[in-house]
Amino acid sequence: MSLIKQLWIAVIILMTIAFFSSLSISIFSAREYFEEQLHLKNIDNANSLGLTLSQLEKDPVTIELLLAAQFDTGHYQFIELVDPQGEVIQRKQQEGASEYTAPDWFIRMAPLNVDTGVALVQDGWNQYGVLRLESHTRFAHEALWSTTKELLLSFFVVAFGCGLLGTLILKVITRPLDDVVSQAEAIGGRRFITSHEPRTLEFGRVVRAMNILSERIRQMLDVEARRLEEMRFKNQHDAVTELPNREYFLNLLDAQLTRDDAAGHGSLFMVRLSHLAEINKSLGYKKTDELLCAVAELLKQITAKHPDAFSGRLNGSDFALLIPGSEDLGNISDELITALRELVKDITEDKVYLPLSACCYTKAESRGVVLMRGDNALAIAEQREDTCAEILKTSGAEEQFQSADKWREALEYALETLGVRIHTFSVKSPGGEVIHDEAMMRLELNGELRSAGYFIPWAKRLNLMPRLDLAVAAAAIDRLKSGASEHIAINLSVEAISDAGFRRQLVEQLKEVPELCYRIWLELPEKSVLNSLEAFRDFCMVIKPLGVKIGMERAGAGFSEIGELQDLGLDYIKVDSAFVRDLPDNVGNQNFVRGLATVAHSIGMLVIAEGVQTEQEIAALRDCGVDAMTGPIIG
Amino acid sequence: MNARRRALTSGLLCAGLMLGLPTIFSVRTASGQLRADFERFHRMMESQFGASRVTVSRAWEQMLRAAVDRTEMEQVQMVSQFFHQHIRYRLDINLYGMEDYWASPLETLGHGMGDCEDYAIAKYVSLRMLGISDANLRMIYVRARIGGSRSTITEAHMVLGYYPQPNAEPLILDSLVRDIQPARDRPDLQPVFSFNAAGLWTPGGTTSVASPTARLSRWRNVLDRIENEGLVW
Repeated sequence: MSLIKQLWIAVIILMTIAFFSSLSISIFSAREYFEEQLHLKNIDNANSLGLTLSQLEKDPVTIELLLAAQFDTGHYQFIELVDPQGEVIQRKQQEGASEYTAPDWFIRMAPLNVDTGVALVQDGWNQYGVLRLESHTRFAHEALWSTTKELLLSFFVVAFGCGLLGTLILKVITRPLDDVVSQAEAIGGRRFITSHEPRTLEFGRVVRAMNILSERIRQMLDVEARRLEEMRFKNQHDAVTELPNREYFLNLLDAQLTRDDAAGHGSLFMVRLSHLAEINKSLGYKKTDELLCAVAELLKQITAKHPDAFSGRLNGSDFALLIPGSEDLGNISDELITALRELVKDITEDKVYLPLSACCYTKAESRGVVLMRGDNALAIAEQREDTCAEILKTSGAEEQFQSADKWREALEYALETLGVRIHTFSVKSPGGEVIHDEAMMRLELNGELRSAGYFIPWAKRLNLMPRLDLAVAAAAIDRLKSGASEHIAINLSVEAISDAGFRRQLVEQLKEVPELCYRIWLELPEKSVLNSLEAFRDFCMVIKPLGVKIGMERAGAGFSEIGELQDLGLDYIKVDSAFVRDLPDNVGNQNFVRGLATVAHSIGMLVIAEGVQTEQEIAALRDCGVDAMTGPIIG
Repeated sequence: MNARRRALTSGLLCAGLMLGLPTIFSVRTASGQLRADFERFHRMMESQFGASRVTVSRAWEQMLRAAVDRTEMEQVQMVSQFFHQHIRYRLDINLYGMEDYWASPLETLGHGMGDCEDYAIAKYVSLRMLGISDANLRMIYVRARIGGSRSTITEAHMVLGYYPQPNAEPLILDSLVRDIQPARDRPDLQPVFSFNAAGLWTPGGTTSVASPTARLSRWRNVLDRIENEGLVW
């Protein structure tokens, strides 16, 4: 029972006891008082009437008149005169019901027993008779009744007031307690949040202790995550240029070519510093490094302009830049060539030039084919002995829709009329238990079922992501209802969660099926989360209370920021396939994944590996303490 | 509202007093038997008026015990005689320093002095103790002509009237006159009003209104003191 209910019960009991005790005391004492006063009045009236009668002629008419006058003008129940033999000489009695406002039960409950007033009447020396009279008790009962009513009313008012006041005070007192409890619950769920210290001393100490705990955990996470990040970075990046090294770049490329929601095509640019060995000699070690770093810096700038793009240093002299979803070879290579020429124009040594190749790829191609194409083009460019570009227009990706309007038309038709389909991939624990099914979006465009990577770049450009994501959520809920999946995960885009309308509609959808919420897993790419931290935070605040699980996919590179996210209570993390690909042979990556799993577990997150392809990877991931896996080999 | 508040406080007081009162003497007197607590009476006499006065109170007790089995007429005679023997007439103003003071039998016997109502009270109490009914006894306010029935000087006076029958002519027990005379032989006295304790008070009775307010009445006041002195009937 809540404290407030108990308080009300206590107030009601106390006030009832107080009411009845004070009512009985006041009625009892008032009754005593009235009885006494009425008795005195009876005696006094009897005596003064007896005195008057004693002085009079004992003429029956006079006696009757006197008694009648006294009776009619006074307030008597009866007046009687009895002679010494006990014969009634005169008697006046109040007849009929008097107008009581006090109810009969009340009069019966508090009767007034007033003694009769007696006086002796003399006729000269002789006894004439005994005069008895009794006053009417109506006014006394009326007074008692109104006292009772007033008392009852005042007790109601006081009880109600006490209850309200108590409720208010209790609310003020216990308000900090709610915060304390929610913080304790959060910590119980391994969300180490800090909260405002309440002014109440005892609560304040508890919250302070919990805040210290949370702060220590956060620091520990920060330190651990930074250490891991350092390790990861060293392991995956070139020491001189800080670009991803060959293995990492290849893993990223692999992920772009295999992942279901990756863009269907894109462009690859390769830059080479020709004659590196000679330049190293003529320019010197330091200047050569500076030149390499300048090239890397240029590639990083271009990478930053395209959301999914990444670059890497393939070997000492070769750099590569991959821009998924874009086949704009001309403009980007122009931009690159201009910048590269700028880099070498001040260098007098004639042999320094930076040839560039640009080509397209499609997802159907293998990693080797794509790299070979770039390499071949680069060889052609290098033969020109100049900083120039070789652009290979061999795109296999024929655009089905020639304009944005056509795309919109096709996407909306697919969305509204044909409906979004979902294709699921199982996420299983090493023991084979299905953790959830990850739903991938499919749209029928021009009679062909297309995967997300194909249409998502256009959907983003046309601002259709919120609608697509809502449709996927609806389809996922239907799938849960049908029983085809026990748990289902869906990918949301940052464009969707930043949209207030989307958030509201998603909450409405979820609120309709509260019993299914805990079976729904929502995930966003780590990169999007870190780029739109505020939007993600708001989204979590709205969604988490419904019981939905929230996680990050394609995670790992941004793990150092985990300290920022731990208080959001993320439920799981999906490690990018780029960490999984060469895991069996890469001790550095193994250390990273193991550390990541440890830290993630310490704050209550499930760790899932993405894009698992081989049995060796499964074994290595299990060794690293990963909870579940997904990928072609898992099914 | 005011009256109600007063009702509450005085009611509380009253309730407390009522609870404190002894209710031992709740049985009505059987005729021919004295139920008074004479030992208490003598102790009070000794403590208030000295050991020498106890002889008077013991004499009173003896007189009552002697009179118990007599006829009413003889009891009236004995009681009247006793008080005329032991009490001298003295005005209240000289004895108690106030205009009018109604003394209890203890005080009257203790001082050996009293005025008209003190005689009447003492005799009334004695006769009631001997079992004479209230219907036969009256304390009577009378207008007395000083110096005989033709005198023009009148004075307020009180006598005790004994009615052999309720509707008969009373015998007058006067403080100033030793003899008991029928009313017709007292032309100097003109009755004004009479009273007794009927309907008002029964010592030890449950209907007694022993509140401070009730004691404002002189008669009630002295009746309460009499009860307190251990005299019951």
